[in-house]
Amino acid sequence: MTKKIKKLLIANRGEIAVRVMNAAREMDITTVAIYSDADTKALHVLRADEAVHLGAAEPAESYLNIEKVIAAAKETGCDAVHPGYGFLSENAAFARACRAAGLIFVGPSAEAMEKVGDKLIARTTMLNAGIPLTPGVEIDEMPLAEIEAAAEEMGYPVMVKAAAGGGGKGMRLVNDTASLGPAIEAGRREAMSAFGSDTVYMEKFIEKPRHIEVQILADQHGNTIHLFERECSIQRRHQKIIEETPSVALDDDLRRKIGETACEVMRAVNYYNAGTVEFLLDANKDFYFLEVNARIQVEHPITEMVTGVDLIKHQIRIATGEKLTLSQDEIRQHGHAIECRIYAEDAANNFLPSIGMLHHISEPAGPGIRCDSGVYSGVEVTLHYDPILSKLIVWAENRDEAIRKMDQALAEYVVLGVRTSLEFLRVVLNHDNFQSGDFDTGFIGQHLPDWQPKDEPELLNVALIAAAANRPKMQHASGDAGEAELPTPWQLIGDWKMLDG
Amino acid sequence: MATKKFQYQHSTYAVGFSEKQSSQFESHIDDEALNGSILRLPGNQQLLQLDGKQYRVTTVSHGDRIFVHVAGKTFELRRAERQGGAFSGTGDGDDVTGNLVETPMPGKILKLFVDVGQEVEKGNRLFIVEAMKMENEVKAPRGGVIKAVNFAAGDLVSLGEPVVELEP
Repeated sequence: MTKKIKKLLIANRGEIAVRVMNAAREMDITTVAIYSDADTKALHVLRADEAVHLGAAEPAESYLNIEKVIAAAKETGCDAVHPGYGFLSENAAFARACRAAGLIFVGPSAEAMEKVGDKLIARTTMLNAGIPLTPGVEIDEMPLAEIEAAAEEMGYPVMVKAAAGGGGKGMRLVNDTASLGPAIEAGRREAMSAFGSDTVYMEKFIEKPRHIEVQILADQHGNTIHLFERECSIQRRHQKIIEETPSVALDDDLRRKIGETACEVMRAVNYYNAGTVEFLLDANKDFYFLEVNARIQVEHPITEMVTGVDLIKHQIRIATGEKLTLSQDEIRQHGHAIECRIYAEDAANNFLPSIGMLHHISEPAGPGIRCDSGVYSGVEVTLHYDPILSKLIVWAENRDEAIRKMDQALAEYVVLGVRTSLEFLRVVLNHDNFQSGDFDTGFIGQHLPDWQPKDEPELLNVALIAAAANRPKMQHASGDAGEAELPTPWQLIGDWKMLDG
Repeated sequence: MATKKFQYQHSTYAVGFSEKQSSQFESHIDDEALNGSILRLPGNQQLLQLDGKQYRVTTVSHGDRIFVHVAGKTFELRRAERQGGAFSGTGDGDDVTGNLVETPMPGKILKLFVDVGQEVEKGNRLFIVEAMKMENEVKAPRGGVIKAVNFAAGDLVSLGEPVVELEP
């Protein structure tokens, strides 16, 4: 039984909220944004049909506040909620609360989410389903001495991971006994702060792994298909920064095998909606189940580019109870797509977040170039949320051309006001090992540790002359320098003077 | 020719610039003369011609900072002639006294490992600062004795604030 969605609340912010709104609008669905004090001028608010203010900038008072989000959806007469990624997207209590309030949750069932959301439960489920797993141990109740013994037995390096984790938070690589205790302590603290649970576990670290994940679409009628792989091995601080598809590490045989395994993973938990199954691929081309991301992912656009499938629209249709309109045989990979995540961060300084006013942004455009952005000139990047500004995606006929297209698009991308990863991303793309496909998740640490921008004396000269030629802008009274404002004729006339009778 | 001083990374440059007829300009950077042409375009853009090459440049200024983008590279410059002609260090260079240990990112002080009077060796953990749920551990840049601890766990700090002071 299907139920049409007429009005959709997007329980998120930034580029993903804008992306979902675009899909909804194309489906004749009215969109409702939510926002915090920090986001009154945010792009996702401007792009929505309606917007509801939730409260303070702290996520707990706004984007993470289940009661407020549900109340906003009910007040505005929404019949569905799209959670995006991050925030409440993998929160089973939120999925339940939506359903209890009579709202369609655009995502998997709360039950499936719980089965895959806790990494320990997921491991047990997958073990029973015969899915390949990395060796691992539960360490929650274990005294440190026992954990140390277990780590010795497994062999260093080991990984400490948050059971509720994702996105590298609460995750620590440990090379020796001395750093195990502090790593567990820090992992627990970070896990508690990020996920509200300090349960961590320990896993054998697969050396030189490549991160390969598979996009899934599954409906509520038992149909599960995959949309092939994405390779996300280029990471910093365990966070992906460049993703591509197809992966150069897979041949057709392995590609089919990993795709089928991903479908089995999702069937094992009766998963429906869009989701991703992540694997590690080792040097022997053996792959191991890592985790399920029970939501749309940041890097979903590259799959859309090579398959021609709009994942967000299918997500929405599946949520209404519609059957999948695509069969496995219809899904093909065509050409090559790459995504670069554009973060407000200082690549030359350990990728620390860079906050401040975005004084000027101009995004690249052209054939095969897609920019999913959540910002515009004149808004501020604050400390409250993930520092992603946008995602730049390119498509070309083959990998070499896609790399060249991305390199040019990054060079065209202007962001002034905060530091970004733009220049660093170009260095990665132009690296021999990246171009030849010879890399793993350790690429940045191995090839570009302590990266510093190259001196470019010629360009510095141009920049210095441009700075000397720059005429200071007329500034607003607030001191907020947005776009240049030319004086109006009225201002040029000067002060008005009242003429006496 | 009017000369302005700009700071880029750890160096200061004296840049002279004067516009002539029909978009031509004369300039010098320190002692090097550079002449070309400039066309001002909408959207903070300039088209600069120098040595037979053409550059599309985007420039915005804010306070004493000037951001310039050219050919895929972004430069963050500072006007150096403010504050009575002397440029005051900003904390990202070598001119930071060796006594101040600053926070490398704005955020919340999560944990302090040292107390006043405590002796530390280079590489000892001093404090952890957290932002966007990422922890960053700050270590002692050199050995010494803790002279002051300016914040407590839970305090919010801005970029570059000295959290711990060392002596001697």
